[in-house]
Amino acid sequence: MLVAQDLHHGGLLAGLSLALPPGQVVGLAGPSGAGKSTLGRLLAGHLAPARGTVRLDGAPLPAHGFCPVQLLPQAAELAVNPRWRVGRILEEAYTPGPAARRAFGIEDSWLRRYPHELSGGELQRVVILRSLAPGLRYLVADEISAMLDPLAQAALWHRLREYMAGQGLGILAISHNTALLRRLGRVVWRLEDGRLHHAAPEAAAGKIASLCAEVA
Amino acid sequence: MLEVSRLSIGFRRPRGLWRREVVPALRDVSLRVRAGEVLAVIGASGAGKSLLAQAILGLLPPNAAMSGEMRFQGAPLDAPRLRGRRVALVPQSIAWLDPLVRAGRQVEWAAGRAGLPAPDRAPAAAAALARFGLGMAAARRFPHQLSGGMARRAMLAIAALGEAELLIADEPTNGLDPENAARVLGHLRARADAGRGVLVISHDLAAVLPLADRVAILREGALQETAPAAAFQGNGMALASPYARALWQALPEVGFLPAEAG
Repeated sequence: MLVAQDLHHGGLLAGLSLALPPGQVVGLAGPSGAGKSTLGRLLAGHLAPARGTVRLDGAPLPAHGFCPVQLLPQAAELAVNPRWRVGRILEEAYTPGPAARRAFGIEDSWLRRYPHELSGGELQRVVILRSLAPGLRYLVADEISAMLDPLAQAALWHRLREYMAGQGLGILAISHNTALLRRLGRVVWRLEDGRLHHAAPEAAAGKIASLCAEVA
Repeated sequence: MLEVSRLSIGFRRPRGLWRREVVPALRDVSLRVRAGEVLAVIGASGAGKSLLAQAILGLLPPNAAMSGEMRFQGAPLDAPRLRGRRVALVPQSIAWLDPLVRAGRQVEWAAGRAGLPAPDRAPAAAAALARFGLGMAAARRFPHQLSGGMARRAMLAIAALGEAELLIADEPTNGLDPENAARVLGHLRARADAGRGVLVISHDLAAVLPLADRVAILREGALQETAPAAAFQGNGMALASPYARALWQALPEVGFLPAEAG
């Protein structure tokens, strides 16, 4: 269990507490500038909270080495070294095998390329696979599918959920798209005024359910 | 208003030492934008959506080879003469703004291109910015000091000033939260309702469906179909192409299905 308690940070978070259970996707929505990405950075140890604690199974996050909570940022191109080839980027924390590369649709020819020679969606998959190192327990996915078309978005999340179910991984999914968050997990939070609120279910929920039945 | 017939675009590149080859990027695309309507062009990244916009505006890179015909208001499209005046682009990235010039000044330039006399340009620019919720503080900033949403609205103000007959918006909702996206899309709809033509290019089917009249689906450079927006409902059986149906059924609001059903 990843537990954040009484987090205060830069006037954005006012005593926020959150628990992420393993093997589940928890959704986080909220208006722009509410502090969703800041909360993600705090949970992944990229920032230290002004007050409050982030603990994984009762212990603080390790200060050195691979962090068991990994952040997937909105812009993959800002999360890689532009002077490294894709192959080296991919092996920064561990060496993903050919089977894992295939599962995430990463072609062998990409490994010799530089990050700017891949599309945003392609580089995103590289960054995701890079984070799935042994020892990973939680992923914070910050708007990772906003730039993808509907088919690519659904494919990416189905792949991640499959991996999550196999490894008992926990995911915090941050997105403006509440319809997507409801698809991913039962719990959807809304961050507003520095606190978490239960996201109101959409009026169209009944209609969506009937559409799903038709499609299936 | 705009008629594109059998437009094909390829890129010439050297092959080996002596030969050249043409890599096709857009194949035989035909579509039309009527006055008073919003046509959405939807596709995955790399489908050729932005290429279509660049072709209409005459902004293709020099190694592009183009065939087909484009007509605007009944006459052959003369892009260099029309763009920025009768055909306007709302670009995808703030890289299209001049990084060394304050946002307000760039909106004043647009007022100049629209034919306003010099003394009227500053007030017209301020009014255009105010329409999109941007005040004098935003006008004094340089492009890199604006948030993504503010920059997008500044570029909309530039496009709106020209009173162009055809407006082309490339990924207008990228990076915007739902509230700002609704504001931008609402403005595009209002332009169409005022009798102009609007072409919206996007990967976000769910965002553009509420404002589009018709939706053209592009895949790997080829047009799959152009359907009325109303055809995107239920299980998508009103759609002609399997790919359009798959896109619709992949939406989280619909089925969240990851692959094309056979």
